[in-house]
Amino acid sequence: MNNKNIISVLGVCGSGTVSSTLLADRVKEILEERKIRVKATGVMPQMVKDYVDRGGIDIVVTTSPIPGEIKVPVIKGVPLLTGIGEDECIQEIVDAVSKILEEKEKAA
Amino acid sequence: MEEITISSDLIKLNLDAEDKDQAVTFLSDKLYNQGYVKKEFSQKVLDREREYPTGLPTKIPLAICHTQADYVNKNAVAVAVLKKPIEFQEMGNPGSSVLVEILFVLALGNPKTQVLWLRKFVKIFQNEKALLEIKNCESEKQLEKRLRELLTE
Repeated sequence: MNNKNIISVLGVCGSGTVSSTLLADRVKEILEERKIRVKATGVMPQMVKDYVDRGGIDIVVTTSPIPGEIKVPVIKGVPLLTGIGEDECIQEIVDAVSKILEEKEKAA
Repeated sequence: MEEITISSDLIKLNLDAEDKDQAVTFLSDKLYNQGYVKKEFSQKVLDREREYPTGLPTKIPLAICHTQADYVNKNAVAVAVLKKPIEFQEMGNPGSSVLVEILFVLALGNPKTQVLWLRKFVKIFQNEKALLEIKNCESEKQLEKRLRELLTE
């Protein structure tokens, strides 16, 4: 497996420390259960645009609104904290990631 | 994992507050008066709550107010069960609010290890029965005991 098959996830919350890391870890778990390799990082909302514009980020999962135009899928991650609507949220992430992997496959 | 203080001295049942600032300040003051946080903590928590709200639409709505680790001396959690629900803005959903019944103010130092604690809290938030138990506790001591059990399960 090479880098192209690794999904890079950005977890985002207000202070960019605790909840964002929690989200990033949770998404990692969800995807790894589905045999998808993941690299996950937690950041603050203001940092997201720069991170994404620099390239290499595939998907953003957030508990906070994010300023600027983000070029990759942004998923609202609060259900991963509350458990309410969690299955739908997981499905949304899995669907988005499947699409990303297909596109990576095509580009390869 | 670093310890976190759960104490009936940081718990208030039936807190009668007019609004969220009053409720949050009440718990922040408890934390400050007992040395868990620095003086600025209370204001920083309120500021952060305005910018990044923490109301969660759980089965029993709650809020998990907190701020950066810089203002924390020692890990602790303060809890209030509110006499009447108070409006908080919803996390990640600007313009929406939730009527909060249980308020947590988390004083967490070192962010890296605190993820593990938040994970345990999230387990409780997802457990309607546990939230009901917290809400229906009859004394601060009882809530302290139950919360400790829930966090070490």
